[in-house]
Amino acid sequence: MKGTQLGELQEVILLSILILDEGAYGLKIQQDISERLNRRLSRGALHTALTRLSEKGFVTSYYGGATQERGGRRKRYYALTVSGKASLREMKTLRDEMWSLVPSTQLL
Amino acid sequence: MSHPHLPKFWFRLLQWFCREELFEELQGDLEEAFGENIESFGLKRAQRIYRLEILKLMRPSVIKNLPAVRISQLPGNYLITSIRAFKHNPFYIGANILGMALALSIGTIGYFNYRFNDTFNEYFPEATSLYKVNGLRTGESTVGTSPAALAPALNLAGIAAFRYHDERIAVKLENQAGTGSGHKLFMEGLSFTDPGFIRYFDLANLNREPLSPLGYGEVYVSDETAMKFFGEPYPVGKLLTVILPNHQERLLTVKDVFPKLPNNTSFRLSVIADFDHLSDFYGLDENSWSNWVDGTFIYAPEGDMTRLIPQMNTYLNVQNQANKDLQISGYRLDNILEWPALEASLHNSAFVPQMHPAAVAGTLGSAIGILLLACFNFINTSIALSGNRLKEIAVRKVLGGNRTSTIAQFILENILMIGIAVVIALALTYYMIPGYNAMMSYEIIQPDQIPWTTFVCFGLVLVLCVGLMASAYPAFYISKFPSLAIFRNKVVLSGKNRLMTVLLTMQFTLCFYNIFGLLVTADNASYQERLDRGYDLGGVINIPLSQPQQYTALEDRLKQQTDVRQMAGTSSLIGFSFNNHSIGFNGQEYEVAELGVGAGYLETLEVRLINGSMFSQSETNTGEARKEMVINKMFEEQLGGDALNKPLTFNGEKYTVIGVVENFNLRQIMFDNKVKPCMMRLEAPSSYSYATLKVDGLTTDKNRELEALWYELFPQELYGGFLQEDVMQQVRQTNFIMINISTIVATISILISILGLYTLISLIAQKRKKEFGVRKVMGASWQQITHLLGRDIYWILGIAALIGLTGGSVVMNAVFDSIYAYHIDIDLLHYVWPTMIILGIVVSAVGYKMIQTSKLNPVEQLRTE
Repeated sequence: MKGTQLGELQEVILLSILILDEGAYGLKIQQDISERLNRRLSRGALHTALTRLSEKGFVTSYYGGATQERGGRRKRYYALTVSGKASLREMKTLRDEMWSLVPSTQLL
Repeated sequence: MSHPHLPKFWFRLLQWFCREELFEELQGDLEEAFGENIESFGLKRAQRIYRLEILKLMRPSVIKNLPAVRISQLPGNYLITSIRAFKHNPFYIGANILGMALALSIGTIGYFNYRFNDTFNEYFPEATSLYKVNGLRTGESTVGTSPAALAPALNLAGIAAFRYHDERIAVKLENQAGTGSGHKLFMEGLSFTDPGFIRYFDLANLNREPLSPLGYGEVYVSDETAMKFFGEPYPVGKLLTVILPNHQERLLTVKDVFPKLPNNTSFRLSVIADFDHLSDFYGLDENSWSNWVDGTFIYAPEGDMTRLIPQMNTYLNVQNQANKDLQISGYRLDNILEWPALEASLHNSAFVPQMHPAAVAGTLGSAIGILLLACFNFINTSIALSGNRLKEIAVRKVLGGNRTSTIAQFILENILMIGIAVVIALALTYYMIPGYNAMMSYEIIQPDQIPWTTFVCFGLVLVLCVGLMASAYPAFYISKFPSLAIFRNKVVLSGKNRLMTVLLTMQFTLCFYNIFGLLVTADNASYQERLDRGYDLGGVINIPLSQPQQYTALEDRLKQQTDVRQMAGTSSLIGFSFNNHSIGFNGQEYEVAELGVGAGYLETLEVRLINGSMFSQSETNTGEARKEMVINKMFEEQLGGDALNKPLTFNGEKYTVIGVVENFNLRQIMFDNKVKPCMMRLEAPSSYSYATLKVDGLTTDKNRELEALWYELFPQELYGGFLQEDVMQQVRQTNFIMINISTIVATISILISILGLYTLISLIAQKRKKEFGVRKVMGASWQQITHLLGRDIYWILGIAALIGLTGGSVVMNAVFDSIYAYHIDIDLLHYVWPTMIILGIVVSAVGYKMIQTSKLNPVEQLRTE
C-alpha cells in the first residue's frame, strides 16, 4: 500500500475525517466508521491505517485540548493535506467515470 | 487521573509496550471510549472491549523497540558463536543431545500416557452434561447396572434418560475359505441403545453428520467393523447375519457407518442396534425392574441433575422389591468424565475403565525421573564445557559485551541444543509408539487422535522449559566471574564443583534405583512363574458349554483320542469363577468360596488330596448330585481341624465332608487374591457349564484341534475354549510391561550417567594436568594417580548406592504389595547384583580413560602452555 494508492479502508477514513471536520480525532473516526460500515473497527487497525496515510502525506495531525474523560490526555486531531484531498478527488473521478460507463441494464 | 474502573494490568501493559509518542493519543481514545461504553454496555463489557482493543494494538507500528530484543542481531552473532561452540566439542555435545532426546521421547510417551487418562470420555462434546446412574449399596461396592424399567420411568422436562446394553453375539460370515461348513462365526459386541444415546453422545457418521435414530432391523457399524465383516469401508445396505442364543438367525441391515471411537472412551462400539432388539433377541422384558441393563445414562444440561435424584429415589422400593438379592440404598449420578475412574470398582459393570492410577503415575514418574537425569547431565556437561570457555567470556566482556549478552548466548546455545533434541525425540517417539502400544493390551497412544496443535505446543513447552531449566544455572554461574580474575587465572572452575558432584550423585542414585528395580521385577516374574498354586496349570484346556448335553457329545469323541489324558465337567472353574457363600457348622456361619465341580475335575487339575477322598465317578450315575463336599486345608483349620466326615450346612441342606485338599489359588495372584477358605461340592452333569481337559503335548495346538472338532459337532455355536494358563495372563502382562519399562529406563539412565561421569573425569584430568605431572616427576606411580582421579567417584557411587538401593527396596516392596497377592522377598543378592553391574559398567567405561591419563608422559603434561 505504499505510494499514492488508496486502500478501501484508507479512503473511508479520509472521507470520515472530512465529514467530522474539526472534530476528527481517533475515537470519533473509529466510531463514525464502525457505525457506517456496520462492523467493528479496532483502534489498532485504525492506528495502522492512519500511520500509513500520514506516511503517504495524505493526513496531518495536531494536538488539541485535554479532557477529564480522557484522563487528562490530549486529543490528536487529523486533517487532510492538499495531496490527500487530491488523491480522494482522483479516486472519485475514476469511480464516477466507471459508473457512468456501466450500462443501466446491468444495474437491475 | 485515570478512570477508576479501568483494568489496571491492561493499562500498564499498554504503557509498557506502546511507543511513548503514541501512548497519550491511544490511551486517551481508549479511555474516552471506555467511559462511553460503560454507559451503553455496562462495566463488564466495557472492560472486555478495552482489553480486546489493547490486544489488537499489539502490532509493529505501536510496539516500541525494546532494547533487549534486537531481533536482527540474535540469529547472526549468537548463532555463529553457538555453532562454533558445537564444532569444538562435537562428541560431548552430540552425546548430550542424544541423551536428552532419549529422555524426551520417554517423557513424551509418559505425557501422552497421562493424557490418555486425563482426557477420558472428553471425546463426547456434551460430556459435562452426561451422567451415568449407579446404585449405592451399604457396605458393598456400588452397582453399575440398572433395571431396564428405570430410564422409561424418568420424565422430567429438560432431562433425557436412555439405556445402553452390550451383548456378545455370534456373527455369521458366509463363504469363508478353509472352514468345513462354508461359514465362520465371529464373536462381536452388539450395543443396544435408546435413540437418546446416539443423540446425546453425538454419534456421527463418516461425514460428521449426526446419526439418525435406528429402525427395527437396522444397525450402524464402525468403520473398523465394516472392514472386518464386509471388507469394504462403506457397506451401507448390506446385511449382517447374527445368531441368537436360541440358534435362530437374524438379518440386520447396515444403515450407516461411524468412525471408531478413540480408545479412551468408556464404549467399544462396533455394531449399534436399537434397544427394542434386546427383548426380541434375549427375551428381556423392557418394563421389568428385575431385568438389568449395562447402563442408564442421563442427559441433564447445566447441572440440572440434582432435580432428578428425588424422582429417582421414588423408584427405590419398586426396584428393591424386584431384586431381593441386590438391595440398593439410593441412586447416584456420576458424570461420565468422573465415572471411568470408578468403573473398575463397580459391581457387575462392563464398560472400559480408566487405566489404574498407579500405571499412569508409574510411567509418568519414570519419565520425569529420566528427564531430570538428562537435565542434570545437561547441566553438568554445560558447566564442564563452559569451563573451557572462560577466556572467551572474559574477552567478550573486555570488548564491551555485558553479562546479559553472555547469559543470552548461553541460553540460546542450550535452547538450540534442546531444539535439536526435541526434533530427534519426536522422531524417536514416532518409532517407539507402536512398541509401547504393543506392550499394553490396547492402543494407549493413538497419534491420529491427538490434535497437531497439542504436539506443537508440547514441543515448544518442552524446548522452553527444559532449555531454561538446563541452561539457567551454567549461564548465570559462568557469566558472573570478572574478566580480570579470569585473565589472571584466579578463577578455578575445578572438577570439584560442588553442584556437579551433587548432580552426578543424583544421577547414579537413579541408576542404582532403576537397575535394582529391573532386577527385582525380573526375579519376581520368574518367582511367580514357579510359584506353587496348589494345582497344575500345564496341559489344561477349558471349553465353555452352552448346554450341559454338549459334554457327553464331546466326551464320546474325545474318549478315543490318546493324548487326552483326563476329562471332567464342571460348573465353576478354579482360577476363573467361584461364588462366595456362607456355610453352617456347629451353629456358626462361615463365609467361604464355593465351587461346583464335576467328578474328576479336581484330579484333572491335580489338586492335592491330604485326607479322605475326592468325589468318585460312580456316585453321579443317579443323575442327582450327592450331598458331599471337599474342603481346603485353610477352611478345615478355620473349622477347628479334622473336619473329615463332619456335617456342614449349605443352602439349608446337610453335606458331608469327604476330603480335605491342599490350599490352592482361586484366582490369578493379582491384588489381594490370596488363598481363601474354600469348599467344593459335587455338581450333577445336568448343570455342567465347562468341559475341562488335561492333554499331553502343546495345549495351543490341541486347542486348535478341539476347535475344529467343536465346529464339526456344533456348527452354529461359537467355540470359546481357552487354556488354564490364561490365569497367568494378567500377571505375565503386568510383569512384561514392568520389565520392559524398567529395561528402557535403566538403560537410558546408565547411558546418560556414564556420559556424565566420563565428562567429569576428563575435566578433572584436564584441570589437574600439571599437578599430576609434578607428582609423577616426584615419583608417584600411575596407580596412585588413578586413585587420586577416582577418589570423588568412590564417594559418588557409594552414596548413590546407599540411597538408590534403600529407596528402591522400599518402593518396589510397596509396588509389589499393591499389585500382587504373592511376590518375591527382597534379599541380599538383590542389592549385590546392581552394585556389581554398575561398578562393572563404570570401570569398563571410564577405567581406560583414567589409566590413560595416569600413564601420560609427565613431560607432555608439564610442557603445555
